[in-house]
Amino acid sequence: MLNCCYCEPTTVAEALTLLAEHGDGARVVAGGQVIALLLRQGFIKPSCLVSLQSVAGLDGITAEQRGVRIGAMVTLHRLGNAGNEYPTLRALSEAAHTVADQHIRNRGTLGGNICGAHPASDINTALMTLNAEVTLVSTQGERMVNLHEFLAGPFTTTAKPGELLTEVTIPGFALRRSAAVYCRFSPRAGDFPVVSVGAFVSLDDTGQCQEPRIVLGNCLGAPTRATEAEQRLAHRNLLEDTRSLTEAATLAATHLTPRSEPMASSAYKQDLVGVLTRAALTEAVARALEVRP
Amino acid sequence: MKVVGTSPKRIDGIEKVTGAAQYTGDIVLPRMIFGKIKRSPLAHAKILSIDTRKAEQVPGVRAVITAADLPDVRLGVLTRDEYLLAHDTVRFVGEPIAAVAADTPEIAREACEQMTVEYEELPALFDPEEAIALDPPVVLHEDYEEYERLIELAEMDKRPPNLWQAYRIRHGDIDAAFHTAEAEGGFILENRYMTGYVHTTCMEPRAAVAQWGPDGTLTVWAGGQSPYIARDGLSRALGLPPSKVRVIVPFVGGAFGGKLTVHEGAIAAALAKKARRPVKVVLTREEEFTTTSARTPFIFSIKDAVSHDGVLLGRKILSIFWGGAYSGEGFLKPIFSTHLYPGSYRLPALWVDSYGVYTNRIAGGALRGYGCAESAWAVETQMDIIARTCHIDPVALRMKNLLTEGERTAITMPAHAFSAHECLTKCAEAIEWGTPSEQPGHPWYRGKGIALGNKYSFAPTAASVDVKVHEDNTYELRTSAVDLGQGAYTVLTQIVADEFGVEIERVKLVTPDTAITPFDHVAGSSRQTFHTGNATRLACADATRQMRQEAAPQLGVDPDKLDVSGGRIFVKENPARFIEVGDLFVVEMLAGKRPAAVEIFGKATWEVSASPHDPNTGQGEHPMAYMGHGAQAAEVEVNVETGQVRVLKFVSAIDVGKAMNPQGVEMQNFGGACMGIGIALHEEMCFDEKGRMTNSNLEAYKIPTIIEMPRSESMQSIIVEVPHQQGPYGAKGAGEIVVVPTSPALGNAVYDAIGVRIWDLPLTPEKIVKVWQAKQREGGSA
Ligand SMILES: Cc1cc2nc3c(=O)[nH]c(=O)nc-3n(C[C@H](O)[C@H](O)[C@H](O)COP(=O)(O)OP(=O)(O)OC[C@H]3O[C@@H](n4cnc5c(N)ncnc54)[C@H](O)[C@@H]3O)c2cc1C
Repeated sequence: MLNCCYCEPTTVAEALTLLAEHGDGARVVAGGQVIALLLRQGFIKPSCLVSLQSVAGLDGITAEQRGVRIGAMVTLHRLGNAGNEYPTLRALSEAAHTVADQHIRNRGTLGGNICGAHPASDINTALMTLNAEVTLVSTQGERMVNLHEFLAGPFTTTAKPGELLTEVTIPGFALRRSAAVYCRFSPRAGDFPVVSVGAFVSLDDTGQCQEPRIVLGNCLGAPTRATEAEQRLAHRNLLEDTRSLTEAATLAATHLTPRSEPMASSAYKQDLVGVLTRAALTEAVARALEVRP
Repeated sequence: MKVVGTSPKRIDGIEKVTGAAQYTGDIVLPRMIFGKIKRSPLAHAKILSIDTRKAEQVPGVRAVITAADLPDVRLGVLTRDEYLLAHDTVRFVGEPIAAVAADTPEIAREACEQMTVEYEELPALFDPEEAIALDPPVVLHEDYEEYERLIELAEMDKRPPNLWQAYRIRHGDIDAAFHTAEAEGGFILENRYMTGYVHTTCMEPRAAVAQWGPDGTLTVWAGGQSPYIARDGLSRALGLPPSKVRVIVPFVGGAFGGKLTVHEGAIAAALAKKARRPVKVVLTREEEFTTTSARTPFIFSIKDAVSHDGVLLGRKILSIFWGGAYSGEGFLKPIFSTHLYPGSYRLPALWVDSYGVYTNRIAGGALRGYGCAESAWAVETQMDIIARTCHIDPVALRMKNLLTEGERTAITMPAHAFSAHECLTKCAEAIEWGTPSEQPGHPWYRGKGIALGNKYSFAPTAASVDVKVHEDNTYELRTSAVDLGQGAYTVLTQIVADEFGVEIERVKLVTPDTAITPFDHVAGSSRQTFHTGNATRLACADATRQMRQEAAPQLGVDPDKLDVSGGRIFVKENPARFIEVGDLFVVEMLAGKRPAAVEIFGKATWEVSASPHDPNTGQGEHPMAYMGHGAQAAEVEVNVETGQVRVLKFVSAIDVGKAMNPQGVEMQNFGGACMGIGIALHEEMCFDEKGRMTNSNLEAYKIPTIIEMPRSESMQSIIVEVPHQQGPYGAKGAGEIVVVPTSPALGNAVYDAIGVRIWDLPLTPEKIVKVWQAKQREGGSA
C-alpha cells in the first residue's frame, strides 16, 4: 500500500531540496502518465512524490547558438507542433505527434518520456537521431550528458538520486543540406511502435554523406545506433550511389537481434527495421536535398 | 403492429449515457467491505500448505477463506470438475486458492500478498495435441472417472485420459465419397486450420456483491448472463437450497459469453458469511484476462471429397477444442461447434469427430458464436480453396452447394427459413463482387473475400414472462432476460407495447431479480428475442384474456367478442362500446364496492424441446431451436512489407427473420463486424513457456480501435428477413451470426490480395510478412 507524501514546489531549487532530502525514496511527477501506472502496479514504492506541475521555468523552447533548448515540462502536444517553428526539430515533432493518443500527449511531457526510458519511446529514438543532450541538475550542481549515455537500458537511466532533468538541447545542423526523419510501425493506432527508426543524413556540397546517424527504437533495451549501417553511408555520395541506402537498410536489419515480444518475433522486427530504415533514409536524403545549399 | 419493426430510442439509453445506470461495481451497501482472490502463480502444482496467519493479521482484514471454509463440492455445468477454491491441486496460472475480505481493496490485496502458499510444482501440459494422446505426458484430472457428469461422451475403446468431451456426426458413406471423387475426376482437399486465443474483453469486468439476510437468505448482485444459472451455481457452491439464493442483475457492461457463471459471487458470499458483512469483489483487467472465460482455440483437420465441377461429395472433419484446466463455460463447445457443418451445404456424406481436452491453461469459454465462428473459419476458408481449385467463382461455388428450404440436412433436421441464398446474393452485390479491386501498387495489394455462416440457437430451453396490468393503463413486464447491451429490454418492451396497442412509454420493465422475475434460461445463443419474445407475447395474451373476461359482464357481451387495445376493452364489432382499463379495477373497496378485478397478471412459459444429442451419430429431427444465416464480405489492403492489413470495406447481410428493431440489428451488424475484425486480425492472448499470459492488459492485448475500422460509409449492414415459423413475428436472433463469417471473409480477402493462405488466426502482420516472403522465395508473384 502506498504511504507517501506529495509536494508541489514552485521553483527548481525547492524541488531539488526535496529530492535531496528524500534521496532514493523521492520520485519526480511530471505529467503523471507513466508514474501513475508504476504506482498502481506496485513497481515503485516512493516515500515522496515531487510534482513539477507548479515549478516555473521548465516549459520554454528557445533557439540559441548551441541549438534549440527545450524545457523538461514541454508537453508532447506542444512538441508535436514545434517543428513548424524550429526546422531542426521536425523529426522530433513527427515522433511526438505519433505518441499514444491526444489525451496522453496533452499531459505527457518531454522530461517524463525521456526519464521513463521506455525501450520503444518515440521521443528518445528521435532525440538520439538528433544527437540531443540532456541537462541534469541537483543540489550538487549541473551537468550535461549526451542522451546516448543517459539512457542505460529498459526503464533505467544514469540519473543519480536527487537529479532533475531540466532541459534538452538539440544541436544545430553543421551542414545546411541536413535532415532527420522518424519512421515507426504499429499495427494499431495509439500503440508504442513495434519498431521505429530515426535517420539523420547531412550532405556536403558534392553530395557526400557526413556523420550519418541511424537509430533503432524498441529493438534493444534503449534506442540503439546501427553503426555498421551508418559506416556504410559515411562518405558515400548519396546522390550518385543510391544503392547504398538499400545496403545500409539491410545492414541495419542484421546489425542486432531485437528482443521479441508478444506478437512480434525478433526476425519480424528485423524485417521491419529493414523496411523502415530504407524508408527513413530515402526520405531523409530527399529532405536534405530540398534545403537550398 | 406499430412499435415492433421500428427503432424507438433504447429504453436504457439515457440512463447509460448519462451515467445514471447502476452497474455491479457502483453498488454500495452499508458496512460493505471488499474481497480479493489469492491466485496460483503456477500452471500445475500440488498445494502443500496454505498459511493465512500473516494475512489475517493485516489491520483491516475481516475474513480469510480457503477451500476448508466451503462445502466439499465440485462445480461445472455438465462435468463437475472444478472447485471454487483449489483443494490440493492447481491446474492453471490464476486459479483461485483463497480469498480475503478487508476494509479496502488495497488492504485485501496486501493481505493476499502476505499469504504463503507452499507448492510442489508438477509438469504442465499446454499442447492440445499432446493432451489428447492415449498416453499423455501429464494427466490433469486423475479422478475424472469419479466426477459427476451430466452428459454422455461418444463411445470409444479407451478414453484418452485428458479428454472430457467427444462427439460425432455420422451421415452417408464418407469412404465412398472419397472413392467417387478419385474415380470420377474430382479431387480431395485436405487442410488444417486453427483459431486464435482470444478474450471477450468486456468493458465491465466481472463483479459481484454479496449480502446475507437475517433469515439466512443470500442476495448476490452480479452482472451476468443468467440470474437462474447463477442462482443454481451459488446454491451448489455454498450448499444452499435455491430458494435461499436471490440473484439480482444490475446493468451489464458486456458479456459475449464471458459471464455465464458467477464464481466471484460465490467467493464474495463465502467471505460475507465469515465477515458478517456485505462483500464486493471486482476483478481487475489482469484477472479478467488470466482467469475468466477465454475463446481458446480449435484445431480442425478437414478433408473434402469434391466433384470436378465443385459439388461437395463428402466432408470429413476432426476437431480438437483446446480446453483449459476445467470444462468451464466451454462445456458444450465440442458439440455445438459441429452444428455449423450441416447447416448451409448439402453434404451427401459427413463424418465428424469432435473432442475437448484438458490442458494447464485457463478454461475455454464462450465468445459470441460458441464454436461456430471457429468452425466457420475452417469451413469457409476451405470453400474458397475449393472454388479456386476448380476455377469456379467462390460465390457461385457456394450457391451450387447450398441446401434448399425443407431439405434434410446431414444431421436429419430439415432446413427451415433457409436464407443463405439471399444473404450471399445481397452481400456479393454490395461488395461489387466480380469487380476486381483497384491496385495501389507495391507494397500494397488489395483483394476481396466473402464467407457464409450459420448459427444455431440451442435447445431444449425455456423462458417465462410475467405481465402485470396496472389500472393507469401501464403494463409491467417482468423478465429474467438480461440486457447485456444487445437491446433485449427495448425489444421486449416493444412487443408488450404492440400486444396491448399502447405507446412504448406505457410499458414498465422489471429487470432480472430471481425473487421477482420468472425463469429465463440465459442471455446467450441468440435466444432472447426468439424465446423470451415468444413468452412475452404469450404472457400478454394471457393478460388480455383476463381483461376480456373481467370486462365481459360490464359490457354485457361474451369475452370472445371483445378486444384490447390502447387502454380500452371494446366490442370488436362496435369499438364505440368500450370500457377503460381503469374501469376493470374498482378501487373503493372500503366504500363497500366490490372490485371487478383485483389483479390482472398474465403469465406464460415458452418451451422448446429438442431431440437428444446422440453423441455417436449427431442425428436428430430437432436438435436445436432454430438456425440463422448470414454472409459477410470484405475488401482489404495488405502491405506485404510490414504485414499491415487495412479493412477498406465491410458488408454484413444477416437474416434475422424479422427485424424487430432495425437499428438494433444494424448495431449488431456493425458491432459484430468490429469485434470480428479484431478477432481475425489483431487480438491474441500470448503465453510464456510456464503458461503465464504475457499480454494481460489492454495495451498489449490488441483490441482494435475505431481507427482500424473501415470508415463508416464503407461499413454496410443489410438486413434480410426470411421469417421463421416459430419466431415471434417470424424473428430469429442476431447476436452471434454477425461474427461467424467474419474471419474467413477477411482471410479470403487477404488471400485474394496476396495469393497466399494463413491457416491459423489471427492474421497478424508478422504472419503475413512470413507467408509473403516464403512465396517470394518459391518464385511466385502476386
Ligand atoms: C497508453 C500509453 C501509451 C503510450 N504510448 C506511447 C508511445 O507510443 N510512444 C511513446 O514514446 N510513449 C508512449 N507512452 C508514454 C508516454 O509518452 C509517457 O507517458 C509520457 O511521455 C511520460 O511523461 P509524463 O510527463 O507523463 O511522465 P511521468 O509519468 O510524470 O514520469 C515518468 C517517469 O519519469 C520521471 N520523471 C519525469 N520527469 C522528470 C524530470 N524532469 N526529471 C527526472 N525524472 C523525471 C518520473 O519520476 C517517472 O519515473 C504511452 C503511455 C501510455 C500510458
